[in-house]
Amino acid sequence: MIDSSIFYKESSLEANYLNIPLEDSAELDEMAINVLEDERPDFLIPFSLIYHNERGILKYKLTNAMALGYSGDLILSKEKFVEMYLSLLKPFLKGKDWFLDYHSICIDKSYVYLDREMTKVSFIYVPEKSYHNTDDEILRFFKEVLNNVTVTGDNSFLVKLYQYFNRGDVTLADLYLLVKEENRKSGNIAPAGNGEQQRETERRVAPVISVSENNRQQGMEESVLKQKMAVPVSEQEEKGKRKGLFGSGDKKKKKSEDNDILPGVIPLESDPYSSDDEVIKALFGEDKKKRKEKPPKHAKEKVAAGEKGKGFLGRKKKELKAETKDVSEIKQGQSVVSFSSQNMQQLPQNFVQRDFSAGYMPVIKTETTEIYDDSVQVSGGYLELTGGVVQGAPARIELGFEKPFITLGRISADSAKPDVAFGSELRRIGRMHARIERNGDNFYLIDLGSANHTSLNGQKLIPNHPYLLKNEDEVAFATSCPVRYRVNL
Amino acid sequence: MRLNGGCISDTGAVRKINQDAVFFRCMEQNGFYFALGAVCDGVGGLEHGEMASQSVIRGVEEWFEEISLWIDIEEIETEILYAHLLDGVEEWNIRVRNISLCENIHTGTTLSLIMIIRKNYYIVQVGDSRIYKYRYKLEQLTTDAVVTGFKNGEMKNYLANYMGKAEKLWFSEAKGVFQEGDMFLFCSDGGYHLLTERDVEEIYVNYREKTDLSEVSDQLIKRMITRGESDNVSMGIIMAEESEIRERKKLFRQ
Repeated sequence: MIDSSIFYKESSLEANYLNIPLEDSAELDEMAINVLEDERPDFLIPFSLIYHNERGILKYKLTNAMALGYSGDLILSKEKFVEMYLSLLKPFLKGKDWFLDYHSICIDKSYVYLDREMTKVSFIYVPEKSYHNTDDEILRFFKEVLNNVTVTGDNSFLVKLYQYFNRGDVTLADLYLLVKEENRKSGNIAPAGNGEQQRETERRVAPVISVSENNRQQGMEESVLKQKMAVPVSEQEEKGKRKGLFGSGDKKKKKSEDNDILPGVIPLESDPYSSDDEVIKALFGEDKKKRKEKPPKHAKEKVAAGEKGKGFLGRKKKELKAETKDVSEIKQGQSVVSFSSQNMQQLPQNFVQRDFSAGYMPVIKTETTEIYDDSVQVSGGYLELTGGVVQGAPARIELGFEKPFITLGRISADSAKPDVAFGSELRRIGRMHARIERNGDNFYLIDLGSANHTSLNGQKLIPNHPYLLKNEDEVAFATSCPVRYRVNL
Repeated sequence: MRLNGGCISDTGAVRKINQDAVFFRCMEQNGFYFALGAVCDGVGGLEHGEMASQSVIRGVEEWFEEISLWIDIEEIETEILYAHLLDGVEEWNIRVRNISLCENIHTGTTLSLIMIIRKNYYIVQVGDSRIYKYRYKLEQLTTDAVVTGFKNGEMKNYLANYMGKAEKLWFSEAKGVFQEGDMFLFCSDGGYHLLTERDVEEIYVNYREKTDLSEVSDQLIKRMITRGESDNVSMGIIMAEESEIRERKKLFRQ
């Protein structure tokens, strides 16, 4: 039986690879392999099946991606988190449209990969029949992701998700709708390239509504056209399966007929795929608007009809609504972020954002090279050592420096002395451990990739990402035997 | 420029245990390279040198994996990355020390490590394994940490420094820039005792178009063993392929 303990990594010049050796008795899912080799969905990592010494190996190409299990906790703005979480859910809900079984998606966090923007997730799909995650394991995975993320800007949303998990009867479709609703409120529109849209409308039986604003009209026409085509036999077979995965298949079929949608297409209120409400409204009529405003109501009707969400991907809207109602106002959590989504929208047209991580200072792109203005008077501030005297650690780190940044690190004979030098006895602090950058009256802390890391208010920092320092923040250099400072601004 | 590399370690014809360990990994982003090659030779005169060498190589591998997760090869300041590497070397030294303490033994290992970032190379040297550069001429980039003494009527080299020797590690360094067509060779002492410049020249001329440099390393090792080398032998080769060779390989594949 395959499990992630047998996975191993390999490097070649082109890329890093993850290899999964297959046993002689391995039973491969040929259909999945054909799908994945010929036309891979974008949420799966490309792979090929090779044979080495008559032994099959599934070889996945990893390109510039970070494993979810890396560096402990992620700190994300709410907008980024929502985007990431939707991307996490998507394969489990969309997989069947590619004739894939979501139980075969690897949910070991060491092998779930984030892109550099930390919004797009790619999974390893193991097309071998003995590799199987249970529904409980999958749910636990989604809950664990929540535990390892700090969402800045709106903790109430995270609390809402936690409460949803704690109530016990969780379904991925409900979770998706909950997160999608938050995504809509945040003003995010999930991007999709033209290629994806076109490939899906050509191939899929249950078409995905176009999500690109620019291509909306085109997507609409294509989707409508494809919907009117005949339903292939495989979709008929899928319907039987779908009943167990999505709850009431018969009920949905009836609903879809009511709305002039082909059988097998999941109606809007339970359709986890739509992400553009205006397009959906245009296709499915005004009813959708009402459903949009009160999604639980529809669920109520379904429940009243005696239908309950069956299986893992079904839903129970009634309880969801009750939970939503009970969430009270939440205090703002600790703030590492410097820009809310509202602020982002006010930035100029030539704004180029390098990273959406919380607290990142955007770089405004201009046509002429601008000189850094270091004549600005710098406001005072300092970092104060806490926890008593630490041999080799400066008691105070002044922030009244004029140059753009200062480097903090340990003295060593073989390196240039850093601006803020820790004694050589503090082995856990690296030679170039961290930097504090100044931008006007704001100061940003950047971990330079040191082996023992830097943390801010207990959260380990991602290397080379700036984090805004605020008054009373706690900075710790090195996570084991940390040297702690309090920020005074 | 394209980087190619490979490495291999062999117990040799005489020894029962392989106390060597060798490592090479490479990563490419948009045509820029980050690579790490290392060879460790457990100190034979001490106990369980293989534990020390494998521990250090494991540390090297973990360090590479961690850095590869976030590094932007094109943008990163090389001196910062090198500072992190030195931190890592010190950390691995402590690990070897801890093995000695925990297992109540005295163990140690050499370390010759080369890091390539874009077109720069950085070398950290502890002990007497070696790193060479070849481009029509063989050049030793590392300095052996040995002292020569007289014993039983013979001049003998004694290892003066190794990982795990002391809490405070001292090491030698080298850095430079390389160009297309340069080749690096890193090996344990079993790899260079009987190595001649002609051997390296032969590889450079005949084998640099090979894709699998681990195989080439293996052939070189076998040649050393055939000549009578009794120690463990480990070798690694890193080649900065010239465009011309790349084109020839492409044509050959077509």
